[in-house]
Amino acid sequence: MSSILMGLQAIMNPQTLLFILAGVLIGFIIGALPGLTGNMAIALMVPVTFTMEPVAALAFLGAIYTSSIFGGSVSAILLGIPGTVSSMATTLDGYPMALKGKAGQALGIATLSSVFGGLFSSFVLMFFAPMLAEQALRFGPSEYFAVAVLGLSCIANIGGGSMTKGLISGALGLLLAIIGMDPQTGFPRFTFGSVNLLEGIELVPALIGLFGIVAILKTAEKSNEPDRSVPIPDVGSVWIGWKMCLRLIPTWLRGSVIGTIIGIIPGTGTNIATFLSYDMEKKFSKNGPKFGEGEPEGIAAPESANNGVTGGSLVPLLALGVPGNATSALFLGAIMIHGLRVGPVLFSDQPEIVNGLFISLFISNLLMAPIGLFILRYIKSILSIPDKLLSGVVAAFCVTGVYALNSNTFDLLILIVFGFLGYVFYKFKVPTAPLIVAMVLGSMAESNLRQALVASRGSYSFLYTQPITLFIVLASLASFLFPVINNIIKTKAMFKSAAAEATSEMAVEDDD
Amino acid sequence: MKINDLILSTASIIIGAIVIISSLSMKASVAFFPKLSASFLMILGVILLATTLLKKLELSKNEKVNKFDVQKVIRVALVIAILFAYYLAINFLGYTIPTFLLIFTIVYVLDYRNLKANLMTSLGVSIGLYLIFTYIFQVHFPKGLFF
Repeated sequence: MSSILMGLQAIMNPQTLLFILAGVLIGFIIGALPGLTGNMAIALMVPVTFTMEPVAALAFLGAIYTSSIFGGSVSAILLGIPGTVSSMATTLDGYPMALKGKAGQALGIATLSSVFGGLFSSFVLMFFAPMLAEQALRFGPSEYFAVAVLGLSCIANIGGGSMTKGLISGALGLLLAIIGMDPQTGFPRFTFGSVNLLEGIELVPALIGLFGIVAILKTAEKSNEPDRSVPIPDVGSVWIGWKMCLRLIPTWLRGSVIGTIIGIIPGTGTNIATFLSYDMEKKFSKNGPKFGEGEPEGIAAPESANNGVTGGSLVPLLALGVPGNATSALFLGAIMIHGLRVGPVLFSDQPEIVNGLFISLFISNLLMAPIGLFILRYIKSILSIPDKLLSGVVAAFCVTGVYALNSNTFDLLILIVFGFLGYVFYKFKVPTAPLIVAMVLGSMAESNLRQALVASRGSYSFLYTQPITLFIVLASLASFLFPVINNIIKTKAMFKSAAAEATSEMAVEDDD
Repeated sequence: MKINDLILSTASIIIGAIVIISSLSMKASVAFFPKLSASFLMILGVILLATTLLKKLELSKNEKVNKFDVQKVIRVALVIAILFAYYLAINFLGYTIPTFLLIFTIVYVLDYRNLKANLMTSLGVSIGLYLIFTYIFQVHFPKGLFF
């Protein structure tokens, strides 16, 4: 209870509340615009938080995070184009419902489902993260090394698509993490004689490049394609009625639980949670066979799940200092520019910041409903802003924000290089999330391993003599090997079926 | 995507090899992590190369030939060139003029032909951002020749 009061005290001032309101507005609009993602919104706004109080900064970014995921549902429902990856499953029933002339109802379901999922996950974050952090206070370098390895072991799952490419992305991230001075001896590694690289690659400019510049380059690539804009249906009334609310409560609960659990597991993401929730609801619901034709549960399940992920994904970051996905890496960047350390130390040294963030997430989720419903009136105008014009504005935000971080033009170079790298990754179908997570966790793993080795006089015995370390290492092995084995089984099955097909074809030819 | 995968796997092997060779001159403790990460990258490169070559026969039947769109490449290259020019210009011309030119040229290169809207947006955003970041966030932008 005292922590709730502490959080309320930290948040309840006009300035911070105004930042939360602004965050909800910005996140919703950016999330609603196809092609602009929530991560990009957070990346662009991290430099803006530089001069804010840490509590206000995190509350502002938290508000953007929650509302951008909700905003993604708007274009998914009205245009059939998911504004964010997390809204892909919403398109399946949201768009057909809008085509039936029930766009308002679909948006109303998405709004209330997002609020429910967001509130549920904020509640779990508020109670689960401090408990985990309390346990993590006992951790030394060996345990932290194991935790970093656990985070790294999940990169095989983050990619989506080819696992090998996801791992390649992770390995490149590890190499990028090496750039800079060696954590123990101070020996410069791969700095190419540049003083600017001695401290390593700045995380925030790199992330803004990977999200912001890549979005511009993608628009540049498709700017000569014919305009495939679809007419935006009229929204009408968005209130769904109490009867519908009561009908959707079980779906909201299931979706929120799935989203929150998936969010807590590093390496997973909103897309996994939404499709899992959609699939499960399809099996549970008596209207399951009608899914895909505009069923309310088909919208409620993924929307409660994707906002359920928001609070869950912050648990490993806040409690252990391990970013499990790209969004939490962005939060880490924001926390770092305020000179704060994440993990259990943040809970013991700056409890008002953590509790303030928890309360702000509650407020953001509550504000999402009225603000979302208000903006929906103007959504037609917002969605009709040309993406080419927006790209110029995004470019200005990218360069201004990056320069503002350290007043150093070298950061602009990092922005451009990472923007280009992100675009190359996009063209080669290599996921960027493993690169980001590995960039953060690589240095954490190395510095803690070196410290643990010094403490154990050069022996690796700490890996099996310390129970917590051993447990986490085994969990990492399981986490890494499970998708690998799964992949091998799938590949074997694919080759087997191909071989069987070839044999049967040969048999047919022989018969002929 | 076979050619892309071949390029990616070869690049991974080459990058890994370069890092390992460069680490040879470092102390063992300093070089441990670079060597480990580079070896990991090389192994993955070899796996991707092997799987791509193994799939060769299977894919060659159905694989679409991707058309190389020169216009797309030029437009992407132009955006990167504009960003690079901005990086070079900001120290000489100050913040506002390069930022105005950055927005205007990027929007123009992206084939948006409403010049009035482009001009208004570029002017409004560059001046707006300058005022916000200078007076609210207390950021000191390079002075340059003008302001």
